[in-house]
Parts: sequence; C-alpha cells; structure tokens
Amino acid sequence: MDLIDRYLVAVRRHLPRDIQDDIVRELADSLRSEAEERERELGRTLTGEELAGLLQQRGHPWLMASRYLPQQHLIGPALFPYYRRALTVLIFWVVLPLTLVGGAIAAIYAGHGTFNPFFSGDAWRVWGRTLNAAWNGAIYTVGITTIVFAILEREQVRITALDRWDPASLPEPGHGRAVPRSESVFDLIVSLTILVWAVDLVRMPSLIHYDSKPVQFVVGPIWGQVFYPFLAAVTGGVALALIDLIRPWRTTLVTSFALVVNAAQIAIVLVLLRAGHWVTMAAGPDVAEQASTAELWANRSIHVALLVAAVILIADTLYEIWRMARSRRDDVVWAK
Amino acid sequence: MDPTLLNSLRLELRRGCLTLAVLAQLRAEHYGYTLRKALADLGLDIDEGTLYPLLRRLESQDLLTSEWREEGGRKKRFYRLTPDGRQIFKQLLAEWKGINQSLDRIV
Repeated sequence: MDLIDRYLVAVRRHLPRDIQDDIVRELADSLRSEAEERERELGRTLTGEELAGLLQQRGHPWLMASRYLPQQHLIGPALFPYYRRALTVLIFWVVLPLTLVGGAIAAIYAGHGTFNPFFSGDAWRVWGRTLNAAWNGAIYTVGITTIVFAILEREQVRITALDRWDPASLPEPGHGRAVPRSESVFDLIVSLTILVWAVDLVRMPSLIHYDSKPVQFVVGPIWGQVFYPFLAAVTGGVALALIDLIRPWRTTLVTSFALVVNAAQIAIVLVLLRAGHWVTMAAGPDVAEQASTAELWANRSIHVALLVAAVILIADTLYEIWRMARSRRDDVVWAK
Repeated sequence: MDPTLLNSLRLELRRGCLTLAVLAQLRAEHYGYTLRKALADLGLDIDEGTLYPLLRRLESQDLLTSEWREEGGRKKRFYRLTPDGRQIFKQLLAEWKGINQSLDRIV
C-alpha cells in the first residue's frame, strides 16, 4: 500500500459512513492525477519524500475529512447574537443572583447540618460548597445553552422574534434609557405583592395550629414602627412601575425619583435588619419547645429575605446610577 | 501589519469569488482534477479541501450535476452546470460585475 492509499484510508476513517466511498474515490483520482502529472514532468517516478510532500500540502487526514462535514460551525453568525444574549442573561441574571442568595443563606445557616447536610461544617466549608454549586451551575448553563443553540443551528432554525421591531419605540436621544415593558410589569407585580403582604401582615397577627394546639404568631413591634414609611416606599415602587409602563424610558427626573424610592426602601430594610427579631411564637407549655424552634427558623428566614432584599436594592441602585451616567456620556458623544 | 488579519480578510474576499469561478468553469464539463488545474492555470489556486466540499454543496443546491465515468483507465466524477446553475451563474455574474464597477469607481 503506497502513501496515497494510506492517506485515503486515514481520511476515510474520519468521514460519515454514507459519503465515505464517494469522497475517497474522487480524492484518490485527484491525488493520483496530480502525482502522475508530476512524474510526467520529471520523467521518473516520485520518491517517497516527494509523495509525502504532495500529501502534506493537502493537510492532515482528519482536517481534510472535516471539511466535507455538512456543519462547519457550531453556532453560525445568524444565531450567535441570540446565543451570546442568552448566555449573558442566564449567567448575570440567574446564576449570579442565585450564587449571592446562596452565599447569604450559607453565611447564616453555616453549622446547621441537621437542617440540611449542605450547611454542615464551618462557614468556609459551606461557602466552598456554595461556590462549587455556583461553578457547576455556570458550567451546566453554558453547556446546555450551547447544546440547544448547536441543535438550532443544525436544524437551520431561524429566530424571527425581532424581525417586526418598531423603530418608533426607540427613545429619542436625551430622553434617557428605555425600560423594557417586561421589567416594568415584573416590578409592578412585585411591588403590589409586597404592598398586599405588608398590609395583611401588620393588621392580622395569625393563629396557627401545631398538633391541634394553638400557636400565636405575633409580629414584632419593629413592623409597626416602620409601617407607614414602608407603605410609602412600596407605594413609590408601584408608582414608578406605572410611570415606566406608560412612558417606557427613564428621564433624569424619573431616574431621580427611582433613586429616592430605592434609597427609602434600602433605609427601611436596614432598620428592619437592625431589629434582629421580627416574629414571636406564643404557645402553651406542651408545644413550647416546638414553637421556640419554629420561631428561630421563622426569624432566620426573615433575616435571609431582608438580606437578599438589601443586596438586590443596593445592586439595583448602583445599576441605575451607572445607567444614568452612561446615558449622559452617550448623549455627549452623540451631540459631538 | 498583522498577517493573520490579512489572511482572514483575503479568505473572506476569495470565498464568494471561488463559487463564481467554479460555476463559470463548469459551463463546460470537468472532473475534479482538470477543474482545479484549469482554475490554477487561469491564476486561481484552490486546494482539494476547499474545492470538493464546494462542489458537493453546489450539487446539493441543484446548481451542479455529476456523473461517474471511466476515463484514462480510472473512474472520474464529471461535473457540469444544471439549467438552474446557469440561471444563478448569470445573475451572480451580473452582480459581481456591478460590484466590480462600483469598486473601480470607489478605489
């Protein structure tokens, strides 16, 4: 078997079964025709080195075979912007927030392995597990998103969601950043839910039953102290979401209002955090121990919820300031 | 100057031209090796790893047709344009001439 045969066998090995014969036969003819022509020019047969040189020019057999494969890229230029966008959203708006929430929970519940084995060991161990889980989450997210888009590319699926966009929906320069309606609707739902929940919580301390024994669920005095400022701040959030819905771009005035609302909400959350105790479970002596445990976990859960709210509010405020600064800078560049 | 950048831009520039050149050459029947040689003799070198996959793609798009025949003691695959291929070639050629004229005016 000469070098050309060996090359063809190697190429064949890397080709899909249904096209192997066809491609190898054609390639064989091309290589032999060229070798014969060289021999005619030289008036002698090619040496092993000359033949090797000719094959080397064709490239490695695996590389040569790969050029015949129908899909030459995993994700093509038409789908790539959607792929990059999906990855950005998933990593920065799903994996990262979940890691922050997970980190906050880890910091609070470290050492409580009986609640969940995940929290056994000291804070560093729990942090290590949280980071490991976040890393795995990021890897899975990237992997699964890539596989989904590779399948879409292979099946030649075309995303048409943005084909019918309306140029009139673009904000005019100087009118501030556009706020997506989905973001406004989400903010409105969250604000209204908190408003309803807050009013309900302060008005009606509830009675729960444990083993058919009544357990009084009493909210701490701090809730009464912050009730009206809390109501005002959340109502401000509802108003802001409504403004964003009606006029979906943030002018300097609206952004300033958003920053005031955020600052008020942060202040209230910090005051609540400082209280350290938010609910009490009052019960008879026969379920006193269970009520005490329930009280401990209820307070810890509220602690986590407040911490998460503080992180989200601070991040949102910083983001809003950054967007306002960037919007102004862009306007300056535009004006030039 | 970055030679990698130049090479990448050169490949980009060549890609569309190669398709046009192959379609033009296949107005007359050719098999792979003679097609490659004819293109090289006219100043357009193209390696097998580019030419044969391109021929397969054009055939799958019904712009080319091929048949295996024996010539010189060996089986060879002969290619030629289909009627659709001729139509597309004419349109592409007009497009290319238009671009060329515009470029001549621009540069």
